[in-house]
Amino acid sequence: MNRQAFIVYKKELRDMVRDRRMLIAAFSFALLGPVFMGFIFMLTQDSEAETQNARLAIANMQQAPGLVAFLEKQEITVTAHEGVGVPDAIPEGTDAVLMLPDDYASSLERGTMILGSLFVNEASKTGIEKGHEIKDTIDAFSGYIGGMRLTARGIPPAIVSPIVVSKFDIAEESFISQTTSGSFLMLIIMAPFIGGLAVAVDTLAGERERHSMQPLLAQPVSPKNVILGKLAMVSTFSIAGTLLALATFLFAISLVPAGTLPIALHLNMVTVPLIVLQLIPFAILIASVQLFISIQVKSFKEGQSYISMFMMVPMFVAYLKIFGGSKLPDAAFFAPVLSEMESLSSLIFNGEPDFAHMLTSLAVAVVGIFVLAKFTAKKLESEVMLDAA
Amino acid sequence: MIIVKELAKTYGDVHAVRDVTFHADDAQITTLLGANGSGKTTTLRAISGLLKTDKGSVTVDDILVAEDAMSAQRRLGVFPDSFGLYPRLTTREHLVYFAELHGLTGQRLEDAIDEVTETLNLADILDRRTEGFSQGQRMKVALARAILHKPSNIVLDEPTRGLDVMNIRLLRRILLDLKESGHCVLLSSHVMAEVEALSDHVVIMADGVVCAEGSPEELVKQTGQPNLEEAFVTLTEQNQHAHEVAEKNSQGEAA
Repeated sequence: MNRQAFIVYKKELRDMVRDRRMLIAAFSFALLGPVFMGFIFMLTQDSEAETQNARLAIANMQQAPGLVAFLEKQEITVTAHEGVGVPDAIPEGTDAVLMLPDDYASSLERGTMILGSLFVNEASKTGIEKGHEIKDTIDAFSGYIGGMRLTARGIPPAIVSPIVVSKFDIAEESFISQTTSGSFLMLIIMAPFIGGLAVAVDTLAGERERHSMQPLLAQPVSPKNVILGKLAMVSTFSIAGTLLALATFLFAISLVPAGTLPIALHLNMVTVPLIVLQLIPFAILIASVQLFISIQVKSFKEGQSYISMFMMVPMFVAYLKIFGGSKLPDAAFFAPVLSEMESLSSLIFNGEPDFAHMLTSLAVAVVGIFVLAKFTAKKLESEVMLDAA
Repeated sequence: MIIVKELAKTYGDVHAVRDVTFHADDAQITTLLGANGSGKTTTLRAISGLLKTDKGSVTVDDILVAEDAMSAQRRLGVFPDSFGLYPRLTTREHLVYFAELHGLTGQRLEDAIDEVTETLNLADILDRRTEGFSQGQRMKVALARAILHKPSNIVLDEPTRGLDVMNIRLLRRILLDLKESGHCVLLSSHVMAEVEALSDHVVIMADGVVCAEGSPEELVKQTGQPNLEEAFVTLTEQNQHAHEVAEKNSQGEAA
């Protein structure tokens, strides 16, 4: 940075640091990161219920030792249900209630049809899944008993079961893992957007609104140096906000008991510096975009509106990655922000650099910063800069 | 010395300045006198290197502004139509910032701040943030910022606007001191008392053209009016009439 740009940078930094609102706007997200992460973690803890054994309460359980053994073999926890008739609610600690008739044992022995009732609560995703799991297991037991009866009568069971299929889940990661990793990435990727937001608006739109742009442009300093100094200031906030968010993220992760997260994190002495190196040019690129937006508007309020809209970009991209990642073509992951997320994802969750996406995001950042800074400086030469809203 | 030749500037269909020619000499106070919208601010902005003109030229101490705006700006001190201060910075920080942009450092910078502090009596507000300053205090900071680097030419756009009598008197004294020390002082105004009290040379502008120029006494004598205000009204009305006749003629020729 040359001397004049440095003079502008020093003044801008001093000016912004003195505004408490700017500091709060820049760093609140980074400091509130752990709270956000705690919330995410709470969600993942809750989702662990999905991986627990299904729990079934059975009325007249003593009459069905075979069924109980079969269910327990399928890792369903079985307890006795004391109530009679239709239950008002699913008892606490269970996922479903199976009401067996009083003549269950004798009907089984006679080989007649047994009519039972399974009560579930499908008000939640977990309730639906557990209910299906229990019903499928009971059906399987019914099929097993039916097969035994046919065999006893000299009929091969395959006659009534011509097709038998087994289901296997081949997803690389569960939905909850995808959501959790996507949320963590969004937390990190949003930090540069928030860090520089308020100062980027104030340094150009605010300067114009305060009528201080005209005296500044009447000094022997080129628009290029003015923009360079201002970009350095916004980038400082952006980088500081990003690094603070990363630090709080690491701190929060260190508090989480080992093995309780549904994802593996590879944050170590190799990946963390690479993550920082990746994030710094990205933060400068975002600062350049924010300055470019800020110079198009006449007032602080107008600038805030447009830059706030720009804030939606990382959220959209993160959700796109979480919910639509598998449907996107490979080329889409080389788009700005998405390539950044891919590269960071590889570093954080696989522990290895993804050079293709890393270099793409670096190239996008370098070209983007240069082009945007050039256009912003060009715009500063415009006479419209002399008048405020 | 500032020389403006055949300056023209349009904003869309609006002719802000049509044909402005005048010069402002060193050791003189030259005033652009005109009603609102007459083209004073546009002219001063062109001199300050803030505008690209459509036609004509501006030279500051023989430097063509269109060719080397930054060199011209080094020789200019600009006091804009609004003070444009940074509320979170102190007066001293304002002065340091603008002095550094003009290349002052170290002892030279300190000396320049000391000098301007004494000249404008800034000691009591030097280390205070400018937020909450009175109009007079804001004027002082803006003026200190403009003269800190000792430019040979000072350009002021309606400098007394919003000031009380005491601050107007202070400003007049400073401008007269600058003139005495050989500076070229160019200001714009529409306050007759101020123009009469300060000006060596008055350039009357109306509808983006110069309709007359000379000393206040010469302008009064030229129009045969009792004072500068009447002379100004007469000259701008004559210009308006001439402009209307010219427009009618051009419309007739077009038809």
